[in-house]
Amino acid sequence: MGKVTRKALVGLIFLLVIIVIWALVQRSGPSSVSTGLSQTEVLIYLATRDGTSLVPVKRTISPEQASPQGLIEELLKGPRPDEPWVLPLPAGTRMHSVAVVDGVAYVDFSAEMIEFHPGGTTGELLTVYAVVNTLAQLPEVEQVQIFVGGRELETLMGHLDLRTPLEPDFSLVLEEH
Amino acid sequence: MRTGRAALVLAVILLFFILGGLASATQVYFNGRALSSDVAPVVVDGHVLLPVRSLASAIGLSLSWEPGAGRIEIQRQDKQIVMHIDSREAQLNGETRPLRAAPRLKDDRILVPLTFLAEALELTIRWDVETAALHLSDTTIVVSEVVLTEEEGRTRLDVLTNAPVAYDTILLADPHRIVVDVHGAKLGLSPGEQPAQAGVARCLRVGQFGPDIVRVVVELNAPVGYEAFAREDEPGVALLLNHAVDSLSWRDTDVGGELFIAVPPHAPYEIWRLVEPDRVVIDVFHASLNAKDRIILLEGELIKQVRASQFLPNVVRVVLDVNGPVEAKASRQEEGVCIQLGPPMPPAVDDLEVAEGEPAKEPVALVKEPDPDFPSLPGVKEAAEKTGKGLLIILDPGHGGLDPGALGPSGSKEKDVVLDISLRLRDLLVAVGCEVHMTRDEDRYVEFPERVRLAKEGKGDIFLSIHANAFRFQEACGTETFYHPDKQSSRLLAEALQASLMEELGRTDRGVKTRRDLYVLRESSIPTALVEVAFINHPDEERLLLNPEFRQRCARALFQGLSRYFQQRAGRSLGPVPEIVEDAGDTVATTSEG
Repeated sequence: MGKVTRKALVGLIFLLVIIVIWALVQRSGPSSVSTGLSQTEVLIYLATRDGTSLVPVKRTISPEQASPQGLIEELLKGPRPDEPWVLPLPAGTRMHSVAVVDGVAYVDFSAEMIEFHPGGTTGELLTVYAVVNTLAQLPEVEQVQIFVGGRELETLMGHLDLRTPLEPDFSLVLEEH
Repeated sequence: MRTGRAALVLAVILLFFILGGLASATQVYFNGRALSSDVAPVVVDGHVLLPVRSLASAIGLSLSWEPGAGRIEIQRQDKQIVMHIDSREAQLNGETRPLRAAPRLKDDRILVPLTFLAEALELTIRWDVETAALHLSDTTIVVSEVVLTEEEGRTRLDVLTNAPVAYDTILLADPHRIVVDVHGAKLGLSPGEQPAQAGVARCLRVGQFGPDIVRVVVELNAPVGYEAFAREDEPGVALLLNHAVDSLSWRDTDVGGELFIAVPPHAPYEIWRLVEPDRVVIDVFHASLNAKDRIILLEGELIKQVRASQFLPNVVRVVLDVNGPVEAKASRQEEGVCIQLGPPMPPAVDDLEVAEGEPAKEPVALVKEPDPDFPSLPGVKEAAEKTGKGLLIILDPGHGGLDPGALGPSGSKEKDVVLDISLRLRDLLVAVGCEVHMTRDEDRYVEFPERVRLAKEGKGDIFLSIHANAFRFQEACGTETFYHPDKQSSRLLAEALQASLMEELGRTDRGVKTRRDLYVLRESSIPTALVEVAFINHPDEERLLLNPEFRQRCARALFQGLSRYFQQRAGRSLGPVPEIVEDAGDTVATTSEG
């Protein structure tokens, strides 16, 4: 085996190591970073098409938008056309209001949230935690309670207990993608 | 130089795994069908190996394995492969072939080299780096026939092939058309165009699109959605096109008004009432919304507005926002469905009791037809030995009454399917002497506190909640079971149930999952699990759930799961699953408590 080949091999392995490090850095970046251009990176939680997981997806918005309201608006925009993820909320759902009191975000959605919901434990879990996880990345939000049409809910679709605020759930989240 | 090339190949494969495959295991597809995650490829020393045991059932190989000799024999159609663990030689139909990588045994899995397997079985391999997918397919697929027909008023397209195929479909505009691409296929009929007079289809075109794709185009009169699925009996692709809902119109009448929904005569529909605020809801199934005006503002005394939208890919939902209770009557007319609205007839619907904090739904009129999907339950043979004596099982069929649960694409309801499964399970349990309490044994709404009343007081040995799952997108499918993480016995129960469901039903294994936030799991203080047997909004799984034989298998699986649990927990099994008596009659087991 020639020296040149060995050099090429070492070079390739070096390149691979660089790529691995780069890939790891990309995955484990902090969730909210202000850049010099006064843009803020936030996460919205979308879902995989087969409904197995939530997926944190980066969005760059202005710092003023990095509010509970801005985050939900960003979430409701759903995936970009080139993204393989889906919005796990019913089509046409709008946010009426959101307020944070003592660490709890109270977010009120339009009737479509129930009326147009397909149901299922999986469907309900992904809907609820897409909202909860998205809001809970804000330092002022620890828990989230979902309202529909201004009314407190016992449940959304007959599985989850929504009488009390919920903490974010990262067990549903696909860590790396 | 050879080392350099090998290193390059290795680098490319590793890159593939780093960029795409690290997060979740690589998804393997066979002829376009996604296989379960346990067939994901494994990289060993730079060679890509596949776990052949899991692969065998998925792609139709027969496999024999002699652990002593480390001998693997694979048979598929006229191909026979013999390999040995750690040997770099294989026999293909008796001929010796060298292997670049030897088969291995790792974590009890038999791993065989992908490239050789594909070559020997004449499968094509395609890596899709973007989606981290490995596509395997049979090479010579021929499209032999393309037919348009009508099925219950819906336009149906059948693309017939000689083997199962991978396909893509897309709905395009200008003109409206559906494109079906059959991958890895050659055209076995003459290409060209033919006019079609089948429902919404205007004409049909077929051609070879590139060397490996046959393209079928259906031109449409209106942009309608569709369900695409693998043909039931023979290989190929079928599409069922939706009805088009062309317009909504409103007409004031003396007593109130009439809403007319223009839709072909076969489209099934259902009308519901919702309260707080009062609404009347009409769901039209197998339908796509093609109406230009989707909101009619009325601001009348009785009704505020009418709004229509595409609720699910195959369901159009029309909501009437009304000012208080109304009388709504639906009737089918030649060119659509007519909803007549008037003031309420006292005291009919006014007395409806509304659960606090829960919007009540009350059907106001239903299109009732005899239901072949839900025949009466079969009889069950009493077990000779009452293995379940002394056990109290609480069965909780999800939803019910004014809460239909999830809906299937053809309009089936979770509440009906899970009630039927629960009743079948009840009969099996009663036959071995269990006492069974049903939170509901008919189609009625039961509030959460009532469902868990006994279990909360610690009464009963098991609380089992039975559901069918759903998600907004039809890719979701499979079986999963939930339990509360603080309860060790519930975990045992959930695992036993999931294992039996996998064995008996063989759907995708979505696993056993812990949840603290599911109402019944949280409130119950006895061993409790919630099973989601399958996805009712997945077209294939809906078809299964509508099959009484499949529901009987669900009940059998749950019986076996419970038996497995009692075996592990208390060393007592429930024994074999009681047999069904074909001629249902005097041996029908009945519930011991209502």
